[in-house]
Amino acid sequence: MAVEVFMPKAGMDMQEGTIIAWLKHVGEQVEEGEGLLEIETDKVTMEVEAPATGVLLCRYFEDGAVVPVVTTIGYVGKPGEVVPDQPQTAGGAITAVPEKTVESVKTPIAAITDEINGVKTTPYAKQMAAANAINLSAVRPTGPAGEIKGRDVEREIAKSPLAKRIAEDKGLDLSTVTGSGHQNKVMKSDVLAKIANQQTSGAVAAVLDTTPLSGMQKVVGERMAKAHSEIPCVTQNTKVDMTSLLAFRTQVNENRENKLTINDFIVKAVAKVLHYDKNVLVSLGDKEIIHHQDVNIGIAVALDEGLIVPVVKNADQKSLEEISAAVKLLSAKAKSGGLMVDDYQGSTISISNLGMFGVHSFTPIVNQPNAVIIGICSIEDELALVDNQVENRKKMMISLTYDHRLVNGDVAAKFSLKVRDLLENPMDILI
Amino acid sequence: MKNGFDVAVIGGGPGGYVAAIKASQLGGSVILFEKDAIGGTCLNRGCIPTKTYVKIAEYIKHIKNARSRGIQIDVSQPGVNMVDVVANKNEVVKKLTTGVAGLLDSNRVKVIKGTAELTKDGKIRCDGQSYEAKTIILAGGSKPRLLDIPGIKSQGVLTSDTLLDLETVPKSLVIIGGGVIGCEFATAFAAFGSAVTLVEFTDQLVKPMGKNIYKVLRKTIKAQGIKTVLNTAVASIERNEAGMLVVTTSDQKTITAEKVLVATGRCADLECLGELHGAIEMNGGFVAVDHEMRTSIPGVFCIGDMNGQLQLAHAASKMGETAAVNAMGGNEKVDLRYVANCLYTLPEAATVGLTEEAAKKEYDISIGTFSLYANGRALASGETDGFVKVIIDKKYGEILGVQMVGPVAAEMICEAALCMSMEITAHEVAATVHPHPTYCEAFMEACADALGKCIHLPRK
Repeated sequence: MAVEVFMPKAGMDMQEGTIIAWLKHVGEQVEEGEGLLEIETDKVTMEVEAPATGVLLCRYFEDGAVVPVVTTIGYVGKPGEVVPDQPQTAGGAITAVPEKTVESVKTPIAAITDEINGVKTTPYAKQMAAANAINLSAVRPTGPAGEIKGRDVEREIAKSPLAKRIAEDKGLDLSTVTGSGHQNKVMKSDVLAKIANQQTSGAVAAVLDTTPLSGMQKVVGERMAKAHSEIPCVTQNTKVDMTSLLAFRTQVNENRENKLTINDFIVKAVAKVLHYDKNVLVSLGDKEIIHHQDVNIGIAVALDEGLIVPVVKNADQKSLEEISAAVKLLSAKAKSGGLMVDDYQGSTISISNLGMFGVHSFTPIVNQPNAVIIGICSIEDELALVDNQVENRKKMMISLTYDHRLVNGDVAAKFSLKVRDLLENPMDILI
Repeated sequence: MKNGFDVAVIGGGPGGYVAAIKASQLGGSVILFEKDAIGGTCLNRGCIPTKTYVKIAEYIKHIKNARSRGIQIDVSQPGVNMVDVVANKNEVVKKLTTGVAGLLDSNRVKVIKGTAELTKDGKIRCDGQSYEAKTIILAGGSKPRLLDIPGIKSQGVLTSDTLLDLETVPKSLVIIGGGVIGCEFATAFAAFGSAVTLVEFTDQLVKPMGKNIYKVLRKTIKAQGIKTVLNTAVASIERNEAGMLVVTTSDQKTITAEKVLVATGRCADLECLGELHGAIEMNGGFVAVDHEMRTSIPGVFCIGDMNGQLQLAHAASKMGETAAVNAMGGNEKVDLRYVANCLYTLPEAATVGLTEEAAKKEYDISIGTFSLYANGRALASGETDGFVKVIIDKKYGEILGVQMVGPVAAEMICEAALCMSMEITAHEVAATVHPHPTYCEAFMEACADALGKCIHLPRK
């Protein structure tokens, strides 16, 4: 029975391949595993091997054709076997099939191979030899017309099995290693020396240890990468004088058992601003901007194995005490792994607080589908001239990042200023 | 004075003659001096003669076991005619030494019979003649080391040199030293009919080969009627009035025997150093050399037992080849990592590479073992004492060390040594089809076991 020859799918993202050259003409005998044609993807040039022993019964596409992957491009079978007139595709349109004359079908192999120093070589073999600095005149050809094929060149990169294993493990390209074994065979010591050399030259950093990514790390990483690459983001830093708030907080906390944190005041202040100004509570839909009603503030919580952003729902309707309790509870649940799906979904804006780490300013990454994330920085001593007197003021940066597709600079700045004003007049937070 | 030699080699053993031929192959004019017989200790007084003896011991063992294999034979106590044994041995030796002489001749190596010595001016003096060469390769070999024991020079106290010419089988033989030499002679003479006692200073025989090998040998040596006294030094040897030798041990016990063999190692034969004694840098009792076999004196190389790197004939040959290449202008280094150690007892034992202890220090290891009790050829041959143990690096399957005991262990170790030097890993060995039934299958199985996928072992 005739066996199909496919355009191979030589990689996850390979959609189509170009036929560089057929190595066999119709009617020619082929052995299973023998090179039948050469194809090219956007990444590699490779040989397609005959799937069976027999004769090449037909070729549906000729040199230069761009063919979708897993499309039948020919058949190999017994002479005289009947094969379909038309190629079968596995979906996808076939583009640019150049017409070929009858003569080209019978092109002898010699004509499609290059001659280098009198040695016939397939283009793939030539490319491999060049990449590995292999002298083609020293390569033993095994092609049916006496041409050097890719497999012949590959054989020439002599390496010990151990060297091969180590190189594969370390991702080292053996063609860059000079072998010390018999006729430059690459040995373990050569591979280790190359790795050591790369490490000292800084090309490859020394690896102390590797730890597999946790499920959460993978998800967080993907989300971060998506947000970072997709969003045209801007970070604006606004300085806030926290002197009054610190004094106010001390006063409020004086007789309280559950002390309120600076973060609680900030969340409450942000919630209050958002209650009246919902310009930044937006998300990007397919063809529209979605305006949110609820002030649901995501609070970034760092965990050993990643990051999670539980949500204080309807924060604008909660008292400072309620916000404090909610943040405390969510944070504890996050750290003990007790968050429910509802606890970390539905945020409309997020806050990331690095104040306890001495961070002066930073560029937080927007927590999609939010449009804005507010980065809270450390409170720092700063000398200021107040009424012609030098005073020590407590200053804190708000680093606000926004998605510029949804929010413009003036809107973001106005929002930051409102938050600043509220924090600088702490009594107003509660009123 | 005769001039014009590129390379002069002093000593015609397996190091020296190989060096001479190699230098000649590389286009050098070569002269070789030998004070005794071409072939050195190996061919004349070591490897080869002892193997003829051990082979005879093996025949005797088979004859003794013949009835258990269904052979009808009427020999209750096979014995040897030692005169014929020695003659047979001499014939073998003669064939080989004649062969080597022929090789030297065909390579146009000029061979001078006589004791050669270096002179202060860097020349060689032999029988009053002076010779000059651009480079000199010292291959003086070694000689039995005699410990400083009272009575060690008594009549009847032999070395491996003199024991090999003994034309009667001693009724009793005490062997001082349970190393390779001691064990091989014990095997031979026990089979010949001597009552053999091995006296060893350490806690096991052939200590460098490790505990696993000794565990098997302890049993087989005992089965051959050889007595073993461990953890014991010899305090004195005395010849009593009856002409018997009385060996007194450090714990004041005495063993009486007709003959005593001193097999306590071999020391460098430094005679050829001549006037350069004291001028050439030494390392213990041996001539110090670098990896290229160069001594402290420019143009002078030293190989084999004389430099003490590794006292094995095959190691000497490798050193000889390298020294010759370097004497002819090369810069090769000797790599002795994969030189196998072989012990020719019944059964044989062999090792190559690192011991388990040494491997553990450098690698995360996995160990595979395969007993000959599970090997078809061994069972069919009635030779099931033995095993193959393979130590590999867990990560890449690199074979780090191999130890084995078995009827042809000295042959089987070659596969392991080849794999190791060519960096073939346990993965490839396990995947290589080994003919069945062969002892060599055990190596493949041990490799597979180290990888946790041995077919012929119960699941762990």
